[in-house]
Amino acid sequence: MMSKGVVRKFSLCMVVLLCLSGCWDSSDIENIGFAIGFGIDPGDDEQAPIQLTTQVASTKKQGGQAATAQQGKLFQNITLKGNSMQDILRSLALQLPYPVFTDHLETIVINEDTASDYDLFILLDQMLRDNVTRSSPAVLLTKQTAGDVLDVNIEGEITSRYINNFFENESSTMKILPQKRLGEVTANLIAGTSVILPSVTKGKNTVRLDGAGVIRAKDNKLAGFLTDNEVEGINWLSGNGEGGLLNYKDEKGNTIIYEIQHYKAKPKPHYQNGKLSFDVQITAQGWITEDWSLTSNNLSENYIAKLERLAGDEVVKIMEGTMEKLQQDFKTDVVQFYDSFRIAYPRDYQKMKKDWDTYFANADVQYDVEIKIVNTGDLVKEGRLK
Amino acid sequence: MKLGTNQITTTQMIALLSSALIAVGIFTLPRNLALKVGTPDLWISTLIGGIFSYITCLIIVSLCLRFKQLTFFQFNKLIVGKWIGTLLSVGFIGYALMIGSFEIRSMGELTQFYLLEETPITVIVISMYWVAIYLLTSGINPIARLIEMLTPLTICIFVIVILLGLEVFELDNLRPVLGLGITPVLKGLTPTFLTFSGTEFLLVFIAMMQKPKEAKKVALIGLAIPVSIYILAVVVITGGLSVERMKHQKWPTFALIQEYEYRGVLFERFESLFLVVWLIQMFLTYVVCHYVAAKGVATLTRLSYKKASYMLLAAVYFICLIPSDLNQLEKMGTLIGWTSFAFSFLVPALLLLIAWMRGLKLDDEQRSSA
Repeated sequence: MMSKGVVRKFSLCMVVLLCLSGCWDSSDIENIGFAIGFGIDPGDDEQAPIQLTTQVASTKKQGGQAATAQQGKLFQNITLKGNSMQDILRSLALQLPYPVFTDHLETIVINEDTASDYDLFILLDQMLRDNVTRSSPAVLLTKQTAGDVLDVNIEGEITSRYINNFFENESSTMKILPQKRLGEVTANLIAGTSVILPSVTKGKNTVRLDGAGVIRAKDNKLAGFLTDNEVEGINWLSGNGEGGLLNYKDEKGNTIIYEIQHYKAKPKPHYQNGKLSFDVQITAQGWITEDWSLTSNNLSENYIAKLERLAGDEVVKIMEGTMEKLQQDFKTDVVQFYDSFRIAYPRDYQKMKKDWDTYFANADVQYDVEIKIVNTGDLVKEGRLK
Repeated sequence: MKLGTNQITTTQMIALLSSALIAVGIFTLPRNLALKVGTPDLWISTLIGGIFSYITCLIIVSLCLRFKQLTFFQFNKLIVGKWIGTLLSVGFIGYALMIGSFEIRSMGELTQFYLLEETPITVIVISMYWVAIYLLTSGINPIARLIEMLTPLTICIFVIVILLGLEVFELDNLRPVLGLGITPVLKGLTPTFLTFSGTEFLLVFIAMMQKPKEAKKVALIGLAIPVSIYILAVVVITGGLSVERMKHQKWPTFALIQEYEYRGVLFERFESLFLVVWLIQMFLTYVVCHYVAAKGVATLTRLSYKKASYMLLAAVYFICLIPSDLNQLEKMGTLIGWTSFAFSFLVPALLLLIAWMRGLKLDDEQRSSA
C-alpha cells in the first residue's frame, strides 16, 4: 500500500505532465502549406506594383485520396498583387486556409522588368529579414513572366524544385552558372559588387536554364542578359564552374570535344600609376571525348600538342567575347576580379571599391591559357590516309 | 569521489571554465568583431584576446593560491579590510547575477526568434530557471558532474556543426592577412575580451578544487578549449559569409548554418541541432553564474546557501526582464563586458599587488595555528 505522501506526489507529477503536452507553437504538418518557390513579376497598377506567385506544395489529401482534380499536379500556384512582399504573403491567408511556411523555399524567380525597375535588395528584403526563410534558395531571373515559369507542370515534379535541381548538372556543361544562393546574392549586394544570376525560360511543357542576367552594382538593377555561350566565358573567367565541355574545331574543320576534368582561373592584377590590368591564367586538365578527324593519330605527341594549342585558342576566344560584353555593354565585374584585386592591393581597393565596375571596364586583360589533354579515350586511330 | 562533498576535480574544473566561457558570444562575437575590425583578420583578434585572457587567469590563480581554500568573498576582506571587501563582494554578486540574467534573456530572445515564435518569453525563461534551481540547490558537486558530462558532448557537436560550414567556405574571404596593417586587429580586441568574460569565476572555484596546485593547468586548458572554438567559428564564418556580410547579419553564426544543406545524410539542416546544444551550454553558463552569486550571498549573510539560491531566483528574473528590446540587451552586454574587465583583471591585479606588498599569505600551517 502506497503511503498518502507518495500518492500525492504521484498525482502532482501527472498534473504537471498535462502541461508538457501542450506546446504554444505546435502546428500539425497536415495543416501547413510549404512555399517551395516564389515568382516575382510586375503588377500592372500603381497601387500594387508587385505580383507574387507562391508555389505551395500539396500536402493535403482530400477524402482519404490524393487530390485528383488536377492529375499529377503536386503543387498549387497562387498569384497575388500588392505593394510589399510580406503584405502579399499575408494576403494568402484569404485564399489558403492553412498558414504558409517559407522554411523550405527552394527557388526565387524574378521577372526581367521587375529586376530592371527595382533594386534587388528591396525585392529580397523580406526574405532576408524573415526568421524562418533560409539563405539557401536559388535566385534566378527570367525574360518571361515568373508566374508562368512556375506554372509549367512537369509530371511528378514541383517546378521550383525541378529548376533548383538543374544545378546538380553543373559538372556536365560549362553553360550552367553555379547556383546563386540567396545568401551569396546578399553578400554581393552588401559588399556593393555586381552579381550574375542564372536565367530560366519555359518551353511548352518544360523549363530550361538559358543564359544569365547581370545585376549591376551601381543601382542593383538588371543591366542585361548573357547567352549560353557567354555564360561559358563567365565560367572560364571566374573559375567557378565544375567542368564540362569545350567544343572546337581542328584546322581542317573537324569537330573536337574536350572534356574538362578540372580547371583553374587565376586573374593576376597589376595596378600602377592608376592603370589597371589583369593577367588571366587558365590551366585545365581533361580528356578528348569525341574527335571527328579520321586521319589523325591520336597517340602522337605532336597531334596532342596541336589539339591542346587549338583548345587554348578557343578558350581565349570565348573569354574575349564575354569580356567585351562585360566591359563595354554592361560595365560590370561579375567574374570576381575584384576579389583578386582586393587581396593583392587591399589599401587601393578600399578607395576604388565604390567605382570598381568603372575601373574594371577600363582594365586591360591579357590571357594565358594552358590546356592539358591527359587521355584520348579508349579508341586508337592510327592516322591512315583514306 | 563521494556525492555531497564540496570539492571538484581538475577535469570538472576544466569543463566548468570552458562552459562558462562558451555562451552567448558564439552568436554575438562574429558580428561585433566584423563591425570593429572590418578586415578578414578577425581571427587574429580572437587569438590575441585569448592570450590576454590567459594572462588575467594567471593573475587570478596566483592570487587564489595565496589564500588556499578561501573564496573571493572570504579573502578580499583579509586584503582590503571589511568594508571595501564587502563592497567588492556585493559588486561581484551583482555582476554574476547580471551575467546570468543576460545569458538567460539572450537565450530566450533567440529561442523566440528562431523556434518558438508564439511562446511568451517569460515561459521560456521560467522553465529554464526551474530546471536550474533543481540542480542548484544540491550544491557544487552535482553541478560540476553535470557540466563534466555535458560539456564534451556539446563541444563535439559545436565543432561538427561549424565544420560542416566548410561546404560554403571560400579561402579568398580570409585573404589578405593583415592587408590594412595591425590597427584593425587591435580595434577588435575589445569585443573579443568582452566575450571571454567568465574567467573571473575562477576567483570562487579555485577554492573548491581538490588539487589547487593544478589551477594553472586548468586555466590553460579551460581557456584553450573555448578560445579555439571561437577561433574556429570566426574562421569558418568569415570564410563562408565574408566580412561584409557578417556586419549585416544579426547572428552570423546562425546565418552560416542556414547557408548549407546536406542531402542524403541523417540531417539535412543543422539549425535545430545547433540551437539545442547551444541551449544546453547557455543553461550551464547560467547555473555557474547563479551558483557564484548564491555562494556569495551565503558567505556575506547568515542565510543558508539553499535559501540564498531560491531568493536570487526572483532577482535574476527581474534583472533579465529589464532590457526592453534587443538594443538594450546589447547595451547590457557591453556593460557586462566592462564589469568583467574590472573583475577579471583590475580587481585581481590590485588585490594581488596589495597582498604581495603586505606579505599576506594563508597556507595550511598558518591556518592550523590560527
